[in-house]
Amino acid sequence: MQYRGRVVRKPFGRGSKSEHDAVMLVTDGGEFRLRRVGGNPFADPVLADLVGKTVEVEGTASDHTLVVTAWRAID
Amino acid sequence: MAKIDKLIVTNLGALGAKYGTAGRASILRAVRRLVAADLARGVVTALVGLDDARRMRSYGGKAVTDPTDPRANKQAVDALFGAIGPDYFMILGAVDVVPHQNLRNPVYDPNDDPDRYAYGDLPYACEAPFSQSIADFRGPTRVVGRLPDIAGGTDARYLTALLARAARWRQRPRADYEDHLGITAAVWSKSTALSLQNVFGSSADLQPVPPAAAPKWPPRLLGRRSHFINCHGADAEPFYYGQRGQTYPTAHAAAWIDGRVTEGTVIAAECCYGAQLYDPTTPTAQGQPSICNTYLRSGAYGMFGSSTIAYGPSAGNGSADLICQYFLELVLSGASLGRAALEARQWFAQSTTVLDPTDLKTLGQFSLMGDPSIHPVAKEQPALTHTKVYRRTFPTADGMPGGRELRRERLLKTGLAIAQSVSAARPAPGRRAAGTVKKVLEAAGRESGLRKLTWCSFTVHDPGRRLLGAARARVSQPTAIHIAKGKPARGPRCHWPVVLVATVGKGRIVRLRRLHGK
Repeated sequence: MQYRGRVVRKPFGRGSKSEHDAVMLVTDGGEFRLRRVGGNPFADPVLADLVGKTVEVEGTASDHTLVVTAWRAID
Repeated sequence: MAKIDKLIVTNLGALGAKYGTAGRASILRAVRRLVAADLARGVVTALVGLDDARRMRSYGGKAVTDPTDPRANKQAVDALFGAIGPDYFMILGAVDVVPHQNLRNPVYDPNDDPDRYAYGDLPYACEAPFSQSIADFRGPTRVVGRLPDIAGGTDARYLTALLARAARWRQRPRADYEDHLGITAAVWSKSTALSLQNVFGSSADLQPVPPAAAPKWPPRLLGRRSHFINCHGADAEPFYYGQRGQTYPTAHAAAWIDGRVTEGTVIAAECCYGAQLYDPTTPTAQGQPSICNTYLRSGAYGMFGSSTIAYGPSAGNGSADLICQYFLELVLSGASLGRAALEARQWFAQSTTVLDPTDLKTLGQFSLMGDPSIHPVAKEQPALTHTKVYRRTFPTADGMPGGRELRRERLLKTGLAIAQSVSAARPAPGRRAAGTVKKVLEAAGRESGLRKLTWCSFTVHDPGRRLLGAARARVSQPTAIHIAKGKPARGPRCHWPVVLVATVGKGRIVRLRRLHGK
């Protein structure tokens, strides 16, 4: 499925053992924590490069996580 | 008919759907060998299919028709407990054979804790009827464990191998479990060091990541039989991660342990998703079964871990630190894996006057993966137990310490007492901190350098109120819990948000906690 939105960095999992600054995709339909197959879920430099950009991504969403398989910056 | 000491339950239809008729038959043959091995140890074991209408009817229960239905599975399990009252209860299969119970996560928050449910086997260990509120299961009484296959698996040999290991387990001296592999994210070194000191009496061999673990743990460490792991974990991932600053290197991996751990290893993993039973075809799993599944395949006797995001402080101990410590401490003292899991839950529930929302999630999300009747560590028995008269009186075989009946009675009483005395938080969406409480939390937030506080509130359900009234006790009687979360605006730890928890009784704050995010 395809999603379009702006990539931002936000605190995630506050107070838990998963706490970290996550790379998130903010879309009109909600926010998703981005993950990439084979990427470090806590610090993925490939996804970190997208922070601040508007992107189109393809992937599978489950609740609040979007596992991306392809992406393209559009600004 | 002999008393059934150990009951194994599964879903025969679900096993057949995964493995076909031949695969299921091979699993049932392996179960029969386990039953025979148990009997040789003095344990009478029986298998019941939760979907077997005739057997379930004979026990006064209703067969499960949808293996994914938590309510039907809980009701079937309760019927069997009522009719049989086994000392050990083993769920055979992963969550697509017999599901975890889908307990509501009391700290669900799309931005911080997106687990809608704190999945786990806690309700199967409790007398309380089906519910999705963890607070209803604060008083566990039953010895429960799960011997999982691989979710979505198609090769029955994984499960038959685990059953074969469960049939041939043997006890070892405590000294064989004193040497340990203790892995921690470097940022949590203080907390993990304290945990290791509490369990093993020393933290000298703690392995912080970074810098350790590259490229993998050497045999001299991995081969130790006690593993205590306090790292990051992620949903459907065969890795645990360390941390220093913004660096999160791999700390542990299923591929590192596959076929490389020592027979009899026991693991307590605090990590988020540390014992999650996911389907390896999930994209993020990259075809690799979970660390838990891999440990068990490689010779581990049992693993105690979490299904979802876990909680604990960066320094000192709390939540996941405590329940994992208790589990290993009890295993080392000679408890069966199942009793260690049960008593760890009981000790944890008793460790506080009020189970706050993160405590409740901890209680619900940690489960035992392994045969609950295995006693990894030999307990030093009184000299009397070695006499002929004692053996004639209690003809149990080696490895199964006597007195189980009395222990189960104690555990039942303890669990019931907890359910009737320990307070627990209940969500109160309409409430919010106000007045002095709000001012204190805001001030604590300012002193902690926090910005943009977010709030949530809970009432306190106190089942012991009547007891306290009868005793005319002058106690604080907490009535509400207010939580404020925020992120430090500046400083070297600016990426560490903080949770402030105020417990209120009789209009005043009786407890104030600051949990630094991990």
